Formats: sequence, structure tokens, C-alpha cells
Amino acid sequence: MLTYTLRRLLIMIPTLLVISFVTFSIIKLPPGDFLSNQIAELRSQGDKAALEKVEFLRKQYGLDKPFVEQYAAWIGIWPSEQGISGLLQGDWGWSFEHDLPVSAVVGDRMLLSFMLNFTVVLFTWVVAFPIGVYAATHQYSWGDHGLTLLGYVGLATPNFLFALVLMYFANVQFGLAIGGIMDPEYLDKAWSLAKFGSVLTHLWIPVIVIGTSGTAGMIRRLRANLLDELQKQYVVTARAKGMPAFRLLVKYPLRMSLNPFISDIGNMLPSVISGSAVVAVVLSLQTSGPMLLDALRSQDQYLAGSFLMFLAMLTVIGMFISDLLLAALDPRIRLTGGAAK
Amino acid sequence: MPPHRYPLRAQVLDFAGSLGGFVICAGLLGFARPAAAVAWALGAAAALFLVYFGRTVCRQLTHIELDETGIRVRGPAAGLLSAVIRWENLRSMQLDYYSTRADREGGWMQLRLRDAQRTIRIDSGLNGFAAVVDRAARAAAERGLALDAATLGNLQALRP
Repeated sequence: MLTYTLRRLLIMIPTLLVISFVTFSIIKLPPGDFLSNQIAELRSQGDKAALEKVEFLRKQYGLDKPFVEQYAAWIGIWPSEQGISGLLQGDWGWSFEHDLPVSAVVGDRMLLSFMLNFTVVLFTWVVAFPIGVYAATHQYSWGDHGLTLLGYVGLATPNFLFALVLMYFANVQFGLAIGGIMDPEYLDKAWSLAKFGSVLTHLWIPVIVIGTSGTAGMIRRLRANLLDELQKQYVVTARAKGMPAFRLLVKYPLRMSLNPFISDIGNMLPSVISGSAVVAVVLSLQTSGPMLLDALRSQDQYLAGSFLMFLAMLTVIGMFISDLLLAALDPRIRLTGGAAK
Repeated sequence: MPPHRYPLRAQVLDFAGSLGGFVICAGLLGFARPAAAVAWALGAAAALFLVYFGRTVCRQLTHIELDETGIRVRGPAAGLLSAVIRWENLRSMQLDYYSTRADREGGWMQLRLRDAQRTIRIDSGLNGFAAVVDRAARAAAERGLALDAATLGNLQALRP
């Protein structure tokens, strides 16, 4: 397992480097940058002081330098005007649109995004696991049919639509405004127990909205895998020998059918993160999603780049954990057509 | 029976990977003056790669002897990394398969043998790995040891 962990860790280093390069390339793909758009606007207004500041920023952040040099300075392996200062050194750069350091603009948003996405994954597991097991062990019962129907509805409903419907009903039926991830008085305030409590009371709505489709998919996969296992000969033999049903279920079939459950952590994170961005716009959540969309639109490259790198890191770490768990849970070789793979 | 060894060509990737990983992490740590959290992460990764490199060197200097009485691992450091398990004392046998690829191809196997005191781990890069596994499986069967599903599946995959 140590060899596996280290080899897997070794893959993460070039993966993160490639991701950072691709992220930076995508941000730089559109012609011009945030400052060149600003310069054109300021020139038309004849604002000389602002023009000088823009030129100063262009020089300070090396926007006049070649692409590769800008990239190396951004990740912190090449000196810029203020020495070696990039992502590695904890300097996320300057947000041109907000005229503030990225760290000041981002504030709590990355932490809130992490909390939201982590809770969504947790919700998906906690809800999908018992339902999936129930649906498989009570195949074709009323409960199974009902849960299957609910699962299909969950899969077929787009997250943003579900958010809109929920907002409408909460407002019309109960007079509640369910947008936001905390009460407005806690926005931009330091973390306290009251603020944390406010986040928790608001978190359940986006968690349900974002997590429903993933939960439905997970239930379907767990049900199908468990049904496959339950029909295998070793289960029939154990039943015939009088092994208690619950013990039999927990000892082998359930363990085997958990594989997709674990491997899905890695697959779920990108979809949860991209899904949460759209839902965050609809529900006015103060997470990274809406700010990332704005930053991409306005070519605020350091702000967008920081968000994308954070989300990519979250995904890479999620995949790493999922792979480790999977390797520990099921270290079997796969056989295809009789040949070892 | 001649001793089984890890051929250098089977270890080249491990040597290159562990050294490369250490150089990258230590290099960034030394020259990029990273922030505290990043520095801790890089330091931990560098230490892990160093341990991995040391382990690969030890493995290169190790050979494994097999006979009817048991299995012996003769390692460096004045026998510090040596171990013997007699077949009659074998308590458990596990054969695992690992792959870092998404399609689970191109992986390697690891045999773990335990008696009351020690564990011997052997990777499939070893010359004559199949023969070692075969002998261990025979000993496990003679001792009536229960093998888990993963081990049984992997044993089947190893058989011609």
C-alpha cells in the first residue's frame, strides 16, 4: 500500500502542474486582458491618473511579459517585479476588477465552497446508502418502486430548476426567502459560533438541491451492484447453509458493491463543483461559483485562476482519497476475456 | 534453488520516481520559499519520497530464498531487514493487485505473508514471483488458511 500511495502521490505532482498550465492557458486564450480593456475605456475618458495606475499594474504583474514567463511567475517559480511571489508563496495575485488582492476579494468564499461541496458529498452518501441497500434487498416491492420513481425524478430534474421551484414554494407557501448561504448580517464578518450556526441553517437547501441528482444516480448504481452480488453462487450457498440474512449481506455482497460508491467520490467532485456554480447563482450563495463566472467574463485572470486552481486541487485530492480507499477495499485484478489486466 | 532478486530494470521506475519526486519537492522547498502550509506539504512529500527511495535501494540489495521449510528474506543493514517465515508457522497469506491507472491495467501484485511475529512483503517485480506465490499458496492450503476473495481472484489470474 505504501508503494501504491507513493506512486499515486507522484502522479499528483505533474497532474497539478499540467492543470495549472491548462488553467492559465484557458484564462489567457481570449485576446487582450482585463487591463487592455480598461486602458481603452480610460483613454476615451482621458483619465491620466488612472491610466498611469493601469500601466503600473501591467508592469507589476508582468502582463507585458511573454506567456510562459507570466505563467511561471504566477505559480511562483520565476521572479516578477516583486520578486518570487506566486501561488506557492501564498500570493494569489491582484484582482483587477475589485482593485484588491485576490485573497481579500475571495474572503470566506473558498471555505464556504469547500463546506458546501463536502456536505453535498456527505449528504449523497448518507441518503443513497440506506436507500440503495433497501431497494436492492426489497426488489420489486412498493418501497423499491416508489424510491425508483423518486430516483428518476431526481436524475431528470436540472439542479437550477429544482432550486427555482424550491425558492418559489418556500416564498409563496411559507413566506421564506431561502437564498444565500448565511444571514446577511454575517456577510464579511469574522467567523463566530453564531455565523457558523447561520451557515448551517442555510446550508441544507443548496445541499439538497445540488445533491439530489447525484444521490439518485448513486442509489441506482448501488442497487444494481448489490443485486448482482446477491445473485451470486456464494450468497446462495451461504443462505442454504443457514447464515443469518443481515450478517450475510454485510460480510460480503455489501462490501463488494461499495466499490462504485468509493470510486464515485472522485467522479462526483467535478460535477458537484460545476453544478454548484450554477445553483449558487440561482440561490445567491456567497460561494466561489458566481465570483468565478464574473472573473472569467471580465478576464480578471488572477482571480479566475486562483478559483480554478483551488477547485482543481480539491478534485485531485478527492480522486487521490477515492483511489486509496478503493485500493484498500478491493485489491483485485480485473480479468477481461480470460486474460489478466 | 537459486535466490530470487529484484532485477534493476524492474526497479528503474521506482528509482526515477522517488528521486524525481524528492528533487521536485525539495527543490521547490529550497528555492521557491513557499508559504508555511505549502512548505509543510512539500516537506512531507519530500520525506515520503526519500523513504521510498531508501526502500527501493534496500529492495535492490535484498534476495529471497525459498525451500521446503520456509521463506527467507536476506536484506542489507547487517541482517536488520532480514526475515524468516517457516511454512508450518504461516498465519496468513494475502495477494493484492494495485494499479495507478484508471483502467486498472499495468499494475503490480504484492504478496504478504505473516507468522506470529513478522510480515514479509514481496512485489511482483521479483524474478520468479509466480513460483514464490505458488509455494506460499501450497503452504497456505496445507495449513488450511482461509484466503480472502481478492487473494483467490488474484491467484487465479496468476495461474497459466
